[in-house]
Amino acid sequence: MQAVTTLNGSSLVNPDAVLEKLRDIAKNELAPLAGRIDQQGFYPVDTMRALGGAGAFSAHLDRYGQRFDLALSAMQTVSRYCGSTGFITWCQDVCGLYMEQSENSHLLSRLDSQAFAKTLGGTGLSNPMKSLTGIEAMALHATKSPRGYRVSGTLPWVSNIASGQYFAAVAAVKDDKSKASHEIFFLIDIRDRVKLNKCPKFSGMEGTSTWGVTLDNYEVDETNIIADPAQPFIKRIRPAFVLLQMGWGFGVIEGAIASCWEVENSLGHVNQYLHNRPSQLEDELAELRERVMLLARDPYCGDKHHVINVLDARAQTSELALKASESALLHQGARGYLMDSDPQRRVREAHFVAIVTPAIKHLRWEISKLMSENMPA
Amino acid sequence: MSRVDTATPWQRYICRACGLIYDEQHGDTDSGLAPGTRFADIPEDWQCPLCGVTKADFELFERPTVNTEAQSGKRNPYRPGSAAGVLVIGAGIAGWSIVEAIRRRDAAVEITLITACNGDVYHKPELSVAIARGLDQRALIRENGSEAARRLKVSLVANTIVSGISSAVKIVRSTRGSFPYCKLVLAQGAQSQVPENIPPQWCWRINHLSAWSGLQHRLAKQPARIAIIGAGMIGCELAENLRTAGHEVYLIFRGDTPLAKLLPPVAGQRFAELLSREGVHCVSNTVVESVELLPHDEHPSGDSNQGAYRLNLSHDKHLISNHIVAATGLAGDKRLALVAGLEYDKGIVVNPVSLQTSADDIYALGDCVSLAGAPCRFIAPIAEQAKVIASRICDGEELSYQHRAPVIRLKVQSCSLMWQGVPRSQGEWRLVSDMPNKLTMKQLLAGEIISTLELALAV
Repeated sequence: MQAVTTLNGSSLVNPDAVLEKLRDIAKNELAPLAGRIDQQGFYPVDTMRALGGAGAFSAHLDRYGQRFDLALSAMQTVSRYCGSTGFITWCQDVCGLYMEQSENSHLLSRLDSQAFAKTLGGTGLSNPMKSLTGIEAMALHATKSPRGYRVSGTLPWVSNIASGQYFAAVAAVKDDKSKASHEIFFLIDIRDRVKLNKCPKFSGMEGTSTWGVTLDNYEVDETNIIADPAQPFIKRIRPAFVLLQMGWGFGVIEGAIASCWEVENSLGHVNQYLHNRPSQLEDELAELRERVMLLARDPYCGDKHHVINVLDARAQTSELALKASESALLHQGARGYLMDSDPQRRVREAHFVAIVTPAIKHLRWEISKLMSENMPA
Repeated sequence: MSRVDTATPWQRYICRACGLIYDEQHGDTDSGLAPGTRFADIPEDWQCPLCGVTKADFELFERPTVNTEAQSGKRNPYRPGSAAGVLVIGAGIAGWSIVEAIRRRDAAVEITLITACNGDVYHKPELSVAIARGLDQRALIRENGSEAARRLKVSLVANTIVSGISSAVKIVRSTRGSFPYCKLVLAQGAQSQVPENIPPQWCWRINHLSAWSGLQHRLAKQPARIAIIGAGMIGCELAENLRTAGHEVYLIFRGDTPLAKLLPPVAGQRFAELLSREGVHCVSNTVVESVELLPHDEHPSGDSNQGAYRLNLSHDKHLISNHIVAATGLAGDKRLALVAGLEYDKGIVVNPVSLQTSADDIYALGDCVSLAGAPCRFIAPIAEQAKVIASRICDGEELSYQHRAPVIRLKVQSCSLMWQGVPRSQGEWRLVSDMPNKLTMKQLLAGEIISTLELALAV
């Protein structure tokens, strides 16, 4: 198969070899850039291409064996050295997932380019995920046009995008009376008709190439439709979408634990009095990771109990990332309080793990909805 | 009339069978006991207004009060290794029972109680008979959740759903954050099942106070037509109670007779006749195939405040009703048990002596538990289970649990229906005696009597 030959020799048939290659790139090429990526907004396109060539963004695709466990481990390996790049790894992964699950032949023909990071793609699903569960209003609106739909509106921040790249978004289709009939899910190619707005400075994660996006009667035709109507599709892919994010969180946690161990020889005699010691954090990560790897065996399972378990594990990932990164700071003491120290960056990365969609509060809202009894009003 | 003695403090007595509390101050006017009637003055043949056992089955009920000042001299409230304290999940009878049992032994240990409801203390068996008694939610609440928490020095985390348990690292996750624990007690009960072909938002399940209150509120204004699906104990009790309250009741069930799991056909037939005599329409050998919501103008009562559904039944029959109540059984939270890595067999498997689950430091009691491969969803064993678990958690002598099949009584007025021992589907029923007003039968399994049944007409 032609697709497999693009794997640069590190075939997905041997997951250990893939992870070894990724570790090598992450440790030697990515880690030295982590500070610049976090604070100075350096978008590591070349490293992303190298990671993609080594198989970082393809393992979860049906086309390459639907190995979500390997995709999670790959994302963790990247994130262990740079949480920002871990996050755009997730963006790249889910964008590929939408394209493949769309079964749209136009998008399938572009999938290998996405899977091996010849092109990079983002995801603008934060707003629709919140909108569809009743947290906020839908930001993009579409009206029918002769060729398909015309979409207008502004998304405040979309990551892993740039001119010439693309991302997936959802818009509410409105009829003549401005009443939403349904939603569409589509890929936006970032060309002249798409305006990218510079975002205000974030506390960290600046190198994720995150932009505001404004659309004004942007034409969407059948070649770019991922799903129409969008809701059944989103319902189906949602557990996989949330599940994959945990690889990114695991990497942040693993990196924070490494920062604790880093000073064990020199500061262990006082660090013994700290709570959340690295061995305890390791136990918590191992327990969580084992459970998530079981869930990864059936990533598209729509069973309510499976969905709750995924949301519960995702919330735990956020809580553990916060706990571990704070512990890394406390373990390193003054050293960890330096602006360019690893623990400082980990704290900011963990904050993003906890507030990005689905945020901790959003997950708990959703779990509460799923687990509450539905009775007559 | 003799003068009421108010000098001696009022005492309260608890029914060992169903947990009902007789409060001397309030008496029991329904059975002719005026407020202020001392327990000692109650006639020996007086019956528990809820379950029908006699006065001898009541015992003195004392609520523990916590005096930490008095205790602090004896014990350092901070004990290394137990800083996270005891965590209890569920604030039904089982949850509050374990909290009280722990407090009797240990005034200082930190206890956190997480519950999906607001934690108000009420007596669930009363729900199936409360509508005909004209009670409302306020009358059923014995103690406000936050007051009970203050009295027992418990951190009450109300309106919170537990989403996961990591038993290996002793953390419980919830919709309001994670809680580390030293000892965990699962008392989360069981949930009512909804028939698959009925949207849950169309059918009531009377398994907790807020659901009951929703139905009670809707029925308070005027008589309605109610379809009850399932003729187990709850279905039958509700049917008779709602009928007594003046509603038109249809009791729909699969088998030939109601209470099919508990009664042989001869007794079931007799019980069905009694229900019919009370005015309950028994719809036997019938399943609900589908339900449709009717437009307002087709409401049977003509009142748009009431719901209106068309139930499409088997054999091409149908029924229009204002309300649907599902009483089709309970099931435990298997997902949570499996996430925690606990053994599960129709309920959380516990050691029959210690009531510990398959995980260290996790115990379980009440409706969520499975003993010898079967759940035991009755009130009577809970108090003993709580005492045993408290003894295992706190310092002092360890008690052993010995499960006894509880006496089961159906809370109906048309007859007295009672079982000693829980019948099983494999058992064989034999007639003991058949008098005009009383039928007695026994059930044998492998040559042993496992249950006796007594059906007597109300006098």
